[in-house]
Amino acid sequence: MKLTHLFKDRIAKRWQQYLKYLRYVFNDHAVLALFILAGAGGLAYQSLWQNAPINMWTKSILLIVILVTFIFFKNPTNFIKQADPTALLGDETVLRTLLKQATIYSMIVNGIVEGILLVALWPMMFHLLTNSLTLILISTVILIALKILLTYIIASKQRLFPDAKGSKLINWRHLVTTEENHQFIVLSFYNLFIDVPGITPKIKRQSWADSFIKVWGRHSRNPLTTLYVTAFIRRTQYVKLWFRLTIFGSLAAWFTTGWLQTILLIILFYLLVLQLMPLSNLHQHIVFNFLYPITSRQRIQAFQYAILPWLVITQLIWLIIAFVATTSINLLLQNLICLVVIGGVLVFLYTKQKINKSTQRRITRAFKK
Amino acid sequence: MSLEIKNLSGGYGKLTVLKDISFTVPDGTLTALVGLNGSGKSTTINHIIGLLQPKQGSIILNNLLLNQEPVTYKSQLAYIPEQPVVYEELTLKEHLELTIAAYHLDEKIAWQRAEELLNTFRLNDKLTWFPTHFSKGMRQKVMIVMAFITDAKLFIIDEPFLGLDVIAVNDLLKLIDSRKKEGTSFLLTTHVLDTIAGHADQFVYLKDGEVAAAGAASEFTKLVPELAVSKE
Repeated sequence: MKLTHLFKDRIAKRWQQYLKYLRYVFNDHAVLALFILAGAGGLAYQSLWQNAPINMWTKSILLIVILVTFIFFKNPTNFIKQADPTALLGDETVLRTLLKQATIYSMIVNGIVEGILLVALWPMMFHLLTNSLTLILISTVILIALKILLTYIIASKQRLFPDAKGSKLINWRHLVTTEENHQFIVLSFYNLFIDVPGITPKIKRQSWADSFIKVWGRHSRNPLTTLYVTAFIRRTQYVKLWFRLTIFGSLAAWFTTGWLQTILLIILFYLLVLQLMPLSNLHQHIVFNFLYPITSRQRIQAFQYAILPWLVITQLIWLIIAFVATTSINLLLQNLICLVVIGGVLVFLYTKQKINKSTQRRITRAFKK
Repeated sequence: MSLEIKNLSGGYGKLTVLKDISFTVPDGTLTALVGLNGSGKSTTINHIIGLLQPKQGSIILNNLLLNQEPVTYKSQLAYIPEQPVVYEELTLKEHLELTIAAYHLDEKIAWQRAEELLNTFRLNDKLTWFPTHFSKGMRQKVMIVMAFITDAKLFIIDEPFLGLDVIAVNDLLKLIDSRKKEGTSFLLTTHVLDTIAGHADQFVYLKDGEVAAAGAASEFTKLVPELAVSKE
């Protein structure tokens, strides 16, 4: 590998990796569910921008949303790997060039993302703020330029030691950590659908849940239940996922009605179960998980028992919100029956089939390795 | 007889690593599985613990065959891997709780054992620690404690001394000796017999996936001069 091509090589490899994972993500029934959700989301957005009242509150909310777009995708990537500062010690100019190119790349990408987000908000801006296309275009360009500048400032700050004054020394270790964190966030998204190898988990104690972990684990009398419940809570990605989808469902329950509401809730519930599936084979690389004298039936039961309370809470929240919003007993019964029946099929049959398939694949792969 | 390996051939996919190997690990003994890198030691272990399926031959543990009674077979086995593997989201205490539950151990007895072991390996004040705070040596000690709180009849230990300090190595050897007296068997892989000389009862020397020599540990130097010479 020519060192002058370091940036090109790394960017090509990264996008190859992302595209590979994307192919897996959109390779299940999930793609259909996501399309339906995107369609429903688009319709809901159209209805919102056409019917939103024009007053100080809605204007303020829109301005807050525009400001929030700055929070997302503001961090730069640097493509520095752990081995670089040691392996390329003899020629640091290569790394400095890589850093410079990566910063320009981040500025462009973050600017494009900001542009897309703002263009998506244009209909609301026209409806609530102004009719002038020129004014909106100028604001958009200014905001994109600010985002690019913000990315540059963050990138420049990241490379220096915190107490450095006039020093040209670059804080490589900090850059490596920053890049690992950046990659962790991106790969965590893929990890919600598929197993991404080599992803280091972020663990938080979550002391508030200690008693729940103990009680729920003991109640099931299955050693793996405690393990799954603990992983669900302490590997924050799963709690966050559950929280996010519960909120999406609550919004769908509040803003829609009739069969559209029921179908949306079912799709969101399906996505929730689907994205929780990686938890079932989270520990497959740990030899003890295979060695413990536990039957495959116990493994499946433990997983189902671990996710069940969270899913029941989600369904309850959705049903209550939908009922408060519509006060329709018929719709409540319709939602209740559909969610319980389809939820039961997903939790007890779908997960069983998926775990059995993945266990079989794992055994075959181990024997053929 | 604790473990009996008869005419075992196996490997990965089409690649055959082990060629017709046979040996036994009698009750209450320590058998050293010796060999250079790539000789087939880890492959043998992977077959015994069921991570690989034999192409030919059989592995019998206390009259049990892995593919016929996997749960009972595994309940008689404890394993300490060469590279410590831990559950990142569990504290040390929770690792032990999981092992106690998985092996259906009597909680009171198991915790008594655990306390002694934690004291021995100076881990007693680290029960609430997560693995991220452990050094490699400490992780290895966690593996040892997890294995030794079980009632397993056979311990399989893969290169146990890597990453352990001298005191921990001596403590582990003392533990092995005391459990041997209770009838527990040990199969331990190592590059050389040096560290476990005086503790091993017999050895099996693997070379290119075949049993090149086997016998009493005291005869090692005589039967495997190439390793003895290279050591010097």
